[in-house]
Amino acid sequence: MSYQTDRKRAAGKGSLAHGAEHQLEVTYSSYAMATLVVLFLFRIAPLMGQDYDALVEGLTKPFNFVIAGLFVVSTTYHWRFNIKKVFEDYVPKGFDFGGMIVTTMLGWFFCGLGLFALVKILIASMIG
Amino acid sequence: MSADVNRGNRPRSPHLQIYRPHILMVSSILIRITGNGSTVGMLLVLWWMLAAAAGPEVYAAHSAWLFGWWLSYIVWFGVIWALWYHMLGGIRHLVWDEAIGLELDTAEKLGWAIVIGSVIGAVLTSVLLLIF
Repeated sequence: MSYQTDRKRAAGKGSLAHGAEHQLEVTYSSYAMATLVVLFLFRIAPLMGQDYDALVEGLTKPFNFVIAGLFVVSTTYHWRFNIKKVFEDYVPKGFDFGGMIVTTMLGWFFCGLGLFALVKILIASMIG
Repeated sequence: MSADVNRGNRPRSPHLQIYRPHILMVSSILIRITGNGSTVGMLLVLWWMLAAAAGPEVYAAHSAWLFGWWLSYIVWFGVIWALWYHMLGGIRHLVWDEAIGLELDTAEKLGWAIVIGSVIGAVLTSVLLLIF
């Protein structure tokens, strides 16, 4: 009889010895995305295309700002894990490992870029 | 122990040359296509945020590119549809992870539901965004 949790017993198994963890990471971010996509479409998307002052006023409302920040983090996190699957399935061996490293770094870069932009908009709105 | 995935010799998923197209295959392929479409959307949203962060003049110039002409409407509708489709397909995947809806008949209905649901969602969202 094993006293380990199901998660612990699955860890280290699957594709590239990381399949079980990958499945969990994608599942958790999927739950986040299912909520955040709807909130983004109905809270943030209406601000797109508006004039600058209306955009800044809308985006820096606390709820909208948190939604936009979580959307950036969750989207880039989810993207980073799913792009790995694309590399595993479609990119020939020899190019896949380097590609996965590049896309992982790109995921972090996009996340940082989005959060930087949001914080800069917030600071600009406070300074006036 | 590392997994022997032997990627060099195995056929490429999803075996288009072996199986005839059916709704489950098509809806699965669309998940990947809309995943790439959502990537385009993610980059466009980042572009929009960075333009706004750069100040009013830069934002006005980039806003014309992002929202001010006919092709932008088509691209944004495509991104919105891709988001809806990918989200509904992802929810279907989460349902399947709980071993629910795996019977062939139910799975086929779910496949049609996400295709139809995503089109309705994209049209309604686009109309609402244009009105408000």
